Amino acid sequence: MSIQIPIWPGSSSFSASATPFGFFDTDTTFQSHADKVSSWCATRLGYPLNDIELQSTHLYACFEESVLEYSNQVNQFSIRDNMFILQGTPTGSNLTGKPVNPTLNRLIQISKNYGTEAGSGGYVTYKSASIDVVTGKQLYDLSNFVFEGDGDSTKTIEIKKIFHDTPPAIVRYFDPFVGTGLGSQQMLENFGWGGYSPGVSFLMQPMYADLLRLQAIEFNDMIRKSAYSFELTGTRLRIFPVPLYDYKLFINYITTEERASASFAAKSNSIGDFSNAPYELHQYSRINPAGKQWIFKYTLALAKEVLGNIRSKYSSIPIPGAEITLNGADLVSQGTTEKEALITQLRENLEAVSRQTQLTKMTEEADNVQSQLSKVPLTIYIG
Amino acid sequence: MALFGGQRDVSLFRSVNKELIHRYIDTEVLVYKLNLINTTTNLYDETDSKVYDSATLIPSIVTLEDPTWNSEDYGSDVTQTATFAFLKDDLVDENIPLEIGDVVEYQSRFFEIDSIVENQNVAGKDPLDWYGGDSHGYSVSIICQAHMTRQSKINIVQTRFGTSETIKDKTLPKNLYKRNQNLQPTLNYSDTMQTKTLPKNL
Repeated sequence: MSIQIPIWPGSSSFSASATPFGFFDTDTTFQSHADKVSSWCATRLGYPLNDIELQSTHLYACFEESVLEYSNQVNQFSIRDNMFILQGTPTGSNLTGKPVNPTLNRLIQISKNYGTEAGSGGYVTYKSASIDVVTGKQLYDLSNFVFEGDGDSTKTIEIKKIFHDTPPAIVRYFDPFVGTGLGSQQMLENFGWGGYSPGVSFLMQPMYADLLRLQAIEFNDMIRKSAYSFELTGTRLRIFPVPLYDYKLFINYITTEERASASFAAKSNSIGDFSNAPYELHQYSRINPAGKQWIFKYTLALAKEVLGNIRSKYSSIPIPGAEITLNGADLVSQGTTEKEALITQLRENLEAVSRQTQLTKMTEEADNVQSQLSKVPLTIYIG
Repeated sequence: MALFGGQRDVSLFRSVNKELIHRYIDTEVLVYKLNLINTTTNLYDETDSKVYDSATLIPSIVTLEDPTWNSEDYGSDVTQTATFAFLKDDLVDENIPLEIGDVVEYQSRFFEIDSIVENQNVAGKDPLDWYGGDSHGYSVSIICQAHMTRQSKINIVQTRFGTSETIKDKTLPKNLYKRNQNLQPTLNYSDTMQTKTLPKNL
């Protein structure tokens, strides 16, 4: 059984599904370029003076892989450059080749976590629990509290606030027992309006008078009375002063479980990482000439690798009465080196237009312009 | 089933060999196959008038040894040996099974084949002679050792003749037998054959 595997005949004719994946097979520009690139690669490899032990399928595969690699590199860069902005946004629309406007969305999302701890918004709901405080009893156990959330009594909770504090001074502004005296009654008497009660209670006074009165009440409570405070040790809550009457004590709490689960609060169809950032393959026909030239060169580098691998499967080829060594190793080496150089070049170009680099350049440009303008002589104003 | 030396690999070897021998080296020789049918022999199966098939142009890697000159009583004489390495595919394509006694013409010298070596096999297998089947291996070459023979002995070309046009046109050479046309060299060799003057009676 003798078979003759056909090698590159000098030309090719691209047809649909001629590439391994067929990502670009319907692109008419790709179809047109596939044969031209194949012919160019073969020529660069020495055809027609040398035989090229490749078939058009090899060269089509290299061409397709090159477009994939280009698109992959560009998309990876875009994802990396925009990931902070994109995370949490819907995956619906294809962002390939589209500008992404930076927003504060992610910053605010992160800030909300601080809000959770500060009690001003955030992702975790503050819940409340309460217990009936009994006259004369200072010590209470948290397990005896009535929790808002089902089963929260058995969960690990973090208490955010215990509502056991001195009543605000404003609620005792008119307290006749507060001991400071309002002082307004006497003043109205002097004006001759003492009998116009109760309207006299709402006499408008300067703001500082109110503030001084409230401060006096607070000082009074702080100095003359036992301060309102508590100690929380484990699940035991000791309140001060000793309760003199029955009342209901409230606390605010969160469960650590809910705080942890807030990390996964994003919707399932939102962008999470590299894998689902909505960057699709570039359309070959819309890649600019600079990109196409990169693709051509990368195709040639891949073709060298393929041809090199074919030629170096056997270290030597028998010929009548002797053996020869083909240039397979050299071709593989050349192809690998050229690929690396092309990737490096493309990445450097992409880095040069990253958002951060552009901002830096704009800043430098503005500084330089400012510096230049500072050297322009100022006109002398003649009034 | 062997993993190496399959027909796809062999196709590469064949392609490289043909490219190298046909296009790069491009050294060709004329092979005159001894025609046993038309060669008449005496009672002892001997002959002094061998008949050869017409020449076939075959690419070959030629290694010529330096000629050796001897001076004897009857004058000077020269001997020379040569090695002709053929791609076996080429001989198969031309249907020329080389044998000892066949003559190879190279640079207007005629070499009679003394020995034939056919043991250069890829992966140690000749697909026509392997118990595992014909899907693996490749018999690369047929290498012939030959010595230069006297032209007058084989009589393929007339070495001594007068100026008579009649003699030249009708009787020279006189012992070549026309081969089957189907076995003539293919058109691929036509260009070379135009520059190389073949014997007139092919």
